[in-house]
Amino acid sequence: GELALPLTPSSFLRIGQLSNVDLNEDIHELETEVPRQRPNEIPHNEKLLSLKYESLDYDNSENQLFLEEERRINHAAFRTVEIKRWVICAMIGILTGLVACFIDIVVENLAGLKYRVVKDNIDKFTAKGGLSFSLLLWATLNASVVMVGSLIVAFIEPVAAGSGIPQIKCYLNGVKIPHVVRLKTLVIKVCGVILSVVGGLAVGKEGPMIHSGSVIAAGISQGRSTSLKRDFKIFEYFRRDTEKRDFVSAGAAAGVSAAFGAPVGVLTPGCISFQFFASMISTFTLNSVLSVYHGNAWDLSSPGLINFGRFDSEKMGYTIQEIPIFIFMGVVGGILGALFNALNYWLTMFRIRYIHRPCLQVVEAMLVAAVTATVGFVMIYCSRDCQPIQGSSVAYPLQLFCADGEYNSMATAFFNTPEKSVVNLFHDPPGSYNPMTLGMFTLMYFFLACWTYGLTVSAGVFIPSLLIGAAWGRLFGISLSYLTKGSIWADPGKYALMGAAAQLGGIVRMTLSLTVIMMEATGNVTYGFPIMLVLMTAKIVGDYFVEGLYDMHIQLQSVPFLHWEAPVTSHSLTAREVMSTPVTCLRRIERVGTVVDILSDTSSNHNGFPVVESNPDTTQVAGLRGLILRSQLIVLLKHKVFVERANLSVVQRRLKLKDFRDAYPRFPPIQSIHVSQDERECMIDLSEFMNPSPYTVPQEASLPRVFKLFRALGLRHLVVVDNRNEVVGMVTRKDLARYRLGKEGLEELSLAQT
Amino acid sequence: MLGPVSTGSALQRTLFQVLLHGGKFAADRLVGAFGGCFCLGLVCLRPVRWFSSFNYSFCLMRATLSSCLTAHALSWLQGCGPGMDECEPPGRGNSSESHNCAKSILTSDRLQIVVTLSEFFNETWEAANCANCLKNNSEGLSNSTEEFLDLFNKSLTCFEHNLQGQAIDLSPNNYTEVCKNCNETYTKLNDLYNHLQRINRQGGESAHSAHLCIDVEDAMNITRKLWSRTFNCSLPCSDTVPVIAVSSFILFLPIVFYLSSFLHSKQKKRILILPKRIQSNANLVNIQEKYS
Repeated sequence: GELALPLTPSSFLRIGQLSNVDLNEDIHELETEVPRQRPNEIPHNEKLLSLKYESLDYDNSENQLFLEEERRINHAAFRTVEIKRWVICAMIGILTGLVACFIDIVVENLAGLKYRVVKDNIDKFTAKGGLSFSLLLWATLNASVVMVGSLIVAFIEPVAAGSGIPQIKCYLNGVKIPHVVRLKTLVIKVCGVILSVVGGLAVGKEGPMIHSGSVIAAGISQGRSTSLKRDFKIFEYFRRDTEKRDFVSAGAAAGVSAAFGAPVGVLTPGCISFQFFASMISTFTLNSVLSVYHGNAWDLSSPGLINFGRFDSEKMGYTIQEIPIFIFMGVVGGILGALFNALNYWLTMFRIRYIHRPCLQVVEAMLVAAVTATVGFVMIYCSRDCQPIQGSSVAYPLQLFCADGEYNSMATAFFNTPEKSVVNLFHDPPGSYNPMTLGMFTLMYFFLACWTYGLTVSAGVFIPSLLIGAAWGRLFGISLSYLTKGSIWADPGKYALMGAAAQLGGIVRMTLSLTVIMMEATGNVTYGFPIMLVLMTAKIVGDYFVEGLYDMHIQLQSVPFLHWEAPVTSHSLTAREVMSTPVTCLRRIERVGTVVDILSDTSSNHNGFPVVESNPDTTQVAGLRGLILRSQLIVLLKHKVFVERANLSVVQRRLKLKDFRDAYPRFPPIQSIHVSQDERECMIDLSEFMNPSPYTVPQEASLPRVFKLFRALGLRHLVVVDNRNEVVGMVTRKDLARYRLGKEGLEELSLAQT
Repeated sequence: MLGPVSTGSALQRTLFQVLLHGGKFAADRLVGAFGGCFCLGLVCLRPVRWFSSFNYSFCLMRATLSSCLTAHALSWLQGCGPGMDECEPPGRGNSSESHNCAKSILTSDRLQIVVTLSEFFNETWEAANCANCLKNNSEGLSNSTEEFLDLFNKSLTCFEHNLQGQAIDLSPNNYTEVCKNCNETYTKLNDLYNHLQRINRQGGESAHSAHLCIDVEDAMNITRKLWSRTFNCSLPCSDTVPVIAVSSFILFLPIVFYLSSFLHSKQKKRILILPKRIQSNANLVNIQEKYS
């Protein structure tokens, strides 16, 4: 925790952890506030903020050491820093592209192997009888592959679960999520995603690609890996939160572009040119390596993990009359997306509350895998929709009880990796799917995907959403041309695309970046407008019911996430009510013993300490002089930079900024630093190391004002002072994140130990 | 298969290409028999017989006519240049002399009829994948095609044999005899076809070569249609009971899992921490004001 105040555990607890800032209830609540003896335990809910998450510090500590270094570096040196930045981005791009290739190739081969084995088995037993064995084989294969994938995630690196997009979103927001950008996480993520896709779950490999790109970026830009315990002694200049964040966002961009072949897809307002560079490199790398792998080396035909295929303007163009239809599809997508999110919300809540033991999580994942296979099998078995094989578009045609030369069209959807199914739905010629097949598929896949998201496997939700949307979109297109008796000649593929966009927009609620991604993935700019319309409609309709899937999961994880703006209607709150108080302050020249005691106090695991004037007589005001961080104090204690030692004039090296950087980002805990009894009596002078000009706000500042300063500058600590420059409180991330606009107005979240 | 490629075009091309590659000899024969070039192709001999028995004569007529037309034009070429082979393919000749010759003839009219036709035939030839059934030098059918056609013939004979006496009977379940007796031949044919297809798919890279040549595909389609649709010999749906049993067992597992974890797992509790803040009434008042 970074709350700069002693958190007394059990003395000030009250029953209403959530004070709905609303009507009379609140008064009632406050009146009944009686001290409780035992710690207040409540079941997990969404209105909590976890103490587990800390903030990243994007504010440079401009202490004297920093200024000195800045002065030493001349202009030329800054230029090399600039060049290094580009080099790092190129490396991020290349490595992300290579990881994407690796995932793609391994998935293709393993999934191909699995489907071939199952197909041969089914073909054999169709003739001889005994198809239940094929079902068992398929379910067992799926379950065992998923078991391995889930085991490594649950027991080795739980943070690798899920798509990773919420985690990266939090990281870029400034929340430090433990282990999220470690090499170990990357390895688990990559293996996990391969196994869960091969295991036939209703998942995609695109979301995890974004996480992988971020990890690669964080690793390369720091020039070392703590998982490998190797320091390559390069890129030391970039060892700070600010630089790291920029690179992580470049890595995420590279991941997106590798996943969708959409290098412009992440051009968000805060984007910098070198992120764009990284994503270009990444998609190019993926493209060239995959082209070589597929045997047409100079072709460059596979820019992303998923390629929607070509949407020709002549064949699949749209007319103005169709735009209202697209908007209607957006509405449907919004409603279905909201339904998806609401179902997933309940499921996730149940999972957090009851399925929290790793072994249970593994069992759950296995069950989902087995059921997915079973549902697929039963659907294929029951389907009587046979279609002639046309060309070689179907990778693993299952004949089952169809006539020779025909295949079961349900099998193209279920007996395939989701990516391929999406492309089939977009591009198969009209008449390839029976409306009944599509309807059943949509229904089943909707529930399967909803059930799958949130399992302890690493997997994304992009592709399942696209698949659901493509299925009902195609169904919609078919029924449209049926209703109008063919007067609108509707290529169902076009409606499949719009349905996919609507469904995705309804689930994840990203408008701008998704538009660009979809547009790039289809390779047709004229689709930009309808896709944007569909996505916007879906988002507006969906937001009316519940929030987006990623935001929902961030909330359920009790992450102190700061949105762009403070909640509306919060102007009446001032810094005085928001801040934490009293604050643990340090004096400018402080006794070592006091520092050690404060740092090792487990009940107040604070991270930043305001430094006040160390005036011996208490009559004078102890004004704010600066801010010092826990990490800096630990480095000081470790190097024993004490006033007495300096006076002894032992030949002691002056502490440089490098010493602080070397310790970044994992500073040793205070327990590992030995301070003898004599040394406890020494004094430590903080004036050289503290940040002498921390950001402050007066007590009267309104919450939106504080919020804006905090969010825009990416601060970690914001000191609240009175008019005599005396420290009265400290605003940190959790103080701001606890206000949220809920259904009944402004809500306040409570802090909890998780 | 059952695809949109018309058999007529394939046959046209077959005839044409055979004549072309057959060189002077074939061309001469064709030109000589302008009126009755009905059965002159080397390859088309067999298809003519098969397809005429399946009322394909219309396509065949068209095929023959077009072939004759083109052949006529080519023979014209032949008289002019150093040889037809060098003039062919039109517009792509090597030596400048033959190039000029080709040019003067091929582009003499507004439609450039010879070029257009030739391109059309070439495209159809490619689309129909005719080269797939021929030997490398296009001299005749490849061994595998011969084998396939042999089996195909056998199957048809078998069908015909077993259908005698009940050919007019249209009730669907009356073909069990055929299904039983011809199963062996049919399976062999089907397997061979699948085998050829697999070999073909492994060998080729482009989308086109995933297909066998249209004649083989069509032959197989006809047989399959007869077998599955007309005779209704495809596999019956079986194993319903075990499949339902196994699947309901698997579908039942998650319910057990969730119920048991709901009942037996200890619910995860969070310990609340109350941060120390100024609990001023101002806070409350402010909010009250806002909502009043």
